[in-house]
Amino acid sequence: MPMIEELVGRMRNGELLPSEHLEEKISVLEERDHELNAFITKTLELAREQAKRVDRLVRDGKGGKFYGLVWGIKDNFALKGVPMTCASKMLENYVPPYTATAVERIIDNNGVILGKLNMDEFACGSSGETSYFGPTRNAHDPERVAGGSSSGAGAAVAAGMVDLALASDTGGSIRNPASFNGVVGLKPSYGMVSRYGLADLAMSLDVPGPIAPDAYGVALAMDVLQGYDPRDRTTVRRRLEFVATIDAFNPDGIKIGFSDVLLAGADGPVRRAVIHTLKFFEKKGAEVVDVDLPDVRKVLPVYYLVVYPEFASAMQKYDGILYGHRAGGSTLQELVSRSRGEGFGKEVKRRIILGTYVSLAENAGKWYTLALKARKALQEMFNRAFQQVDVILSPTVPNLPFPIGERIDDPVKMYMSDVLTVPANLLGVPAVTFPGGWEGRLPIGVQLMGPRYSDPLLVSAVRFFEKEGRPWCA
Amino acid sequence: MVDSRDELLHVAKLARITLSDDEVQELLPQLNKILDFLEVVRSIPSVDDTAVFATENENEYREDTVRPFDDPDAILSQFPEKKGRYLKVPPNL
Repeated sequence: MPMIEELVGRMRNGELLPSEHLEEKISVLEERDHELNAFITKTLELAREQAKRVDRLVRDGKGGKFYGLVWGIKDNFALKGVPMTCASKMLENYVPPYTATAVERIIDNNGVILGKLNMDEFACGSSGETSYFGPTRNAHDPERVAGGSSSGAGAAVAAGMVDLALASDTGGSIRNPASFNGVVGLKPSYGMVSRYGLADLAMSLDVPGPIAPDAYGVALAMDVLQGYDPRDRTTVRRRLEFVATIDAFNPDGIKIGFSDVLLAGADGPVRRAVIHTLKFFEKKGAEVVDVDLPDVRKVLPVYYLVVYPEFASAMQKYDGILYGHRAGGSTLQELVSRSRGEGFGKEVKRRIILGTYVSLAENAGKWYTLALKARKALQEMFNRAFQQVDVILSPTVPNLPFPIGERIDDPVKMYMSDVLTVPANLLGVPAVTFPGGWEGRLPIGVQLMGPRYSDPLLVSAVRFFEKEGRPWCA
Repeated sequence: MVDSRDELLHVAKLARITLSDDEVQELLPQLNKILDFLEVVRSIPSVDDTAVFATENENEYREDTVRPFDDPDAILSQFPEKKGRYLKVPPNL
């Protein structure tokens, strides 16, 4: 697979026409997607129109940032006139009347949109298996899960069906599938990328971000995606430099935080890949510092107690009245309850019911407030760690991609996949995953998490590893 | 804990979700297993502050003014049931 920097170079200087490049991607899509199920909606016609337009623009020296790079969009972002299902029966026939800011920025910079990508239903899942349209399969081993919730984004990038993918991360939804498919994914600092046009999961945690085959792709995407948006007032008025600083990483003077507690419960190969990567950076001059993270494994209950009520609240709008699945009913209340009962899948219902339960007046102070206080305590614990170190290195997911069906009936076991990714969301800080090893053909993701707005540093560290290091191999 | 079938149905009613008998049977033990798992939250030393500000922004308000939407037909086209340009709903009793 040509690396993104080289590809952009070829398209910029006219060696490769965007429309020719698109046809290559379409042929990969046609060959692989019947097996992987990474796409929910394919927009071949739209893509071909866009690519022809970009052919002309590139010729005229107006290639934008993307010069016709081919994008897939997770199906929880709106693109006007194209179905947006959130992988749910509830929105199976929904066509949004507007476009998400992040998608608009991609199109404005001459990204070509090849389709909407499969995901866990309303982003509720860590394996890609809760989609109403069937599970996405892992690009390296179709018997295994692609990770989630941005399952299609991880698999489509890894299989080369798209160059880049737009995804979203609430507790690991970018990093988990990027890790399971052996590609690079960045969960940006909260507020760096607009959520306008993204279906909420938990609005205090959600952040859009890219999945790419390499660090350069992530950097290029972030230079476009980031920025203040008056339509999302949680976006920050700040600009970070990604491509301009991508080769600036100097391991000398970098302090990498690590703790054995981050390896608890990890599969053997995952441990070995993480230690290998840590040692690589140490050998190159970085200092490894033992950080004290005693409560890190308790983050999951805090995370889910924040997610459930926010999710239950965000899901109230799906009622079968104005749009989406409508069941019959002789009264309004019956219509709403039946539409939701029929339209939502198991995990979505579980989360809404738990969110409603936790928010009951008689439960005031028993769950949600405790979780907020614990969230604050965790934030302080990590802030103390970030006073000592520049980044914290860990596995992205403690386990290798597991066989399809293995965990789907055990929600608590499924939740354990997220233990190392949710802290970044609870804190609002950036975290990147990159392939740090391979167990046979199964990729192993390594995660770097940094303090808020250290996003470019993290991406440059991945670039450094890509150039100077080698993933661990069994 | 969600102790009984009736309690689960009460919460589901508040959540405006109908559940089949099979779903109730499957959900009850799952929800309690999850709530058990969430109990850990009580063992985390917490601080007496619930303020977690995810961004550096101050609260921002926008002018409370009406702005026309450019394509109302695109919204109307999504109505599950309509009569002309009106949305059809059953009585709200």
